[in-house]
Amino acid sequence: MAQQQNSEIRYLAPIAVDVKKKKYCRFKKAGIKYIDYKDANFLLKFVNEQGKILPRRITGTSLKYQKKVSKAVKRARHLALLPYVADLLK
Amino acid sequence: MQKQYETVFIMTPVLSDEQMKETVSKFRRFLKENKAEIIYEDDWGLRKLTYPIQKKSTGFYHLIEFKAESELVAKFELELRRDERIIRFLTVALDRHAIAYNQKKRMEKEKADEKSDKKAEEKVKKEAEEKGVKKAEEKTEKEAEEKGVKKAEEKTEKEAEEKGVKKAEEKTEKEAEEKGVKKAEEKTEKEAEEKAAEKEKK
Repeated sequence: MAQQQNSEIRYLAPIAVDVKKKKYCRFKKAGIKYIDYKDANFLLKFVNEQGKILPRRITGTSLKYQKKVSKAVKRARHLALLPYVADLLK
Repeated sequence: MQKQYETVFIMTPVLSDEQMKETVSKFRRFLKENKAEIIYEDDWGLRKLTYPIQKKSTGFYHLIEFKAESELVAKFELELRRDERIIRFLTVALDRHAIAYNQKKRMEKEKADEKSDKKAEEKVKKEAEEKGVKKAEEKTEKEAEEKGVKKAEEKTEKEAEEKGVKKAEEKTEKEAEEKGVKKAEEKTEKEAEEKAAEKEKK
């Protein structure tokens, strides 16, 4: 009897099973067609703490816009709006 | 073929305000002389650089948007490169999306400016109106108070008069009653006396 009871564990709340959120391209979804290199605060979203451009597999950006993002980040770096190398950027 | 370009350049922070404006006007003149059409200019002012350039940690940013022949860009960049007051520059050809984006941004900026202006005006107006309303209210209140006072005075007078009248009436009534009573008493006394007299006679 004791064993049977153990096998039937009941939870008060349903267990949080990791449901993977589907990634999406924010530019396609929002209909943004031009990525401004002058808006450093916005570009900060596509850069990690060291100032490196985040890969597509993390941000979910489509290839078309990833190219534009990388171009904008590089332009911003040239104008000293974003750092080439950084530590604890965020 | 004409194309739309956008140039951002950074000037050294060593320059004074006048020198900075002079360098900007120099390049503006250069563009105008070479038949370029300046569409938009934006002065970002003194900004901090995220990394030092020529051992400077700040710089004056300036943006010029212009329409020109593609051959001019190389000349313009050469001019920028020759000027030692410029520490960094970037020229970008704008595609139609970029042009639309810049126009939208400019519109928003203008709107924001207008809004702030309008808001200031509205505030002044509202304050003036409120003051006017308050004054009017105060006036009416004062008038009402005065009227009330007058009315109250009139009332008290009337009441006093009425009371006086009533009192007088009451007095007369009371007196009348008393008299009546007295008379009645007198009468009874008289009757009693008469009765007694009659009895005695009998």
